[in-house]
Amino acid sequence: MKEVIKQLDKAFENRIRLGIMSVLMTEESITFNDLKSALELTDGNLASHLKALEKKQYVEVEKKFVGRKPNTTYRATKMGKKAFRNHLEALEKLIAGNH
Amino acid sequence: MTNTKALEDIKTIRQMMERSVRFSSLSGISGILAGIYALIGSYLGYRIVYLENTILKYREAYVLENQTLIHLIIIALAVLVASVLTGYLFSRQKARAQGRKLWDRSTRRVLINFSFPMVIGGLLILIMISRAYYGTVAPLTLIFYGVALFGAGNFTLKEIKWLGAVQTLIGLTSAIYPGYGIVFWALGFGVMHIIYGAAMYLKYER
Repeated sequence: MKEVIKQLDKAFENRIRLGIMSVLMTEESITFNDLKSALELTDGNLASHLKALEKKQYVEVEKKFVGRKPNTTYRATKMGKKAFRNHLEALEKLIAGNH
Repeated sequence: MTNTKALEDIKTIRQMMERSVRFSSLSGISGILAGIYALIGSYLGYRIVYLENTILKYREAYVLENQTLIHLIIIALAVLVASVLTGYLFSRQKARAQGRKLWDRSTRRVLINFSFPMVIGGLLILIMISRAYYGTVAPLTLIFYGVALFGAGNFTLKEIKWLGAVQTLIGLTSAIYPGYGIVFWALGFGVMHIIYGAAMYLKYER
């Protein structure tokens, strides 16, 4: 059981970060606003959690201009996707183990 | 980390993955209404084809009179516009109730995937009408609509796939029985929409 708990990723302990990664697993890339509406969050809240995931290099940002409008999109890195899968696996094991 | 917390985390993940992909603001009631419009339209069309020309042989009525064709096209377009408008208004309301924006990524994706077969099918049907292959109109509308729904079903309520599959089958059947286009339209666009809309309403909205 201890082993399994070690396998859980601290970065995903927070529900919002978990939500962000879940969306990024299904979406190739997504804009800040679409992510905001999917998760029903405020700007500041989402930004701070995205920063944390960026720092861990689980998420990467791409800043582009569409015409004159800045367009920021987010995507999960390979590392982030792998970490998320591991975390999910640990959660599953945890549940299976507790039965 | 307890069992409950782990389960809740998994639930969050699932919810978020579903939510990001699926457009869920489609209302069953708009399906029922679209079905009713289609039945009214079919009835009007039926009367034009059978009574205005006082010919009992259905086929000639369709083809010979230019006026008849125009009337039928107007009815079909009116049904289409009314259905789309109803769908839009109910979806907007449902999105509001869910606290979501109607115009987001999932909406765009469902519309793009739905529109592509619809536009191609629509163009093909226009070509067929211009070449006077009127008998192909009923099967083609049903088949392309069904294909569009089937494709869109990947990005919205899964049950739409069933509706799409049924529409394509009705379309194919109507190709086997030429001359009964209006009957198959009433069945596909009318009856099936009402059944589907009622089922979705009972399942998700009540």
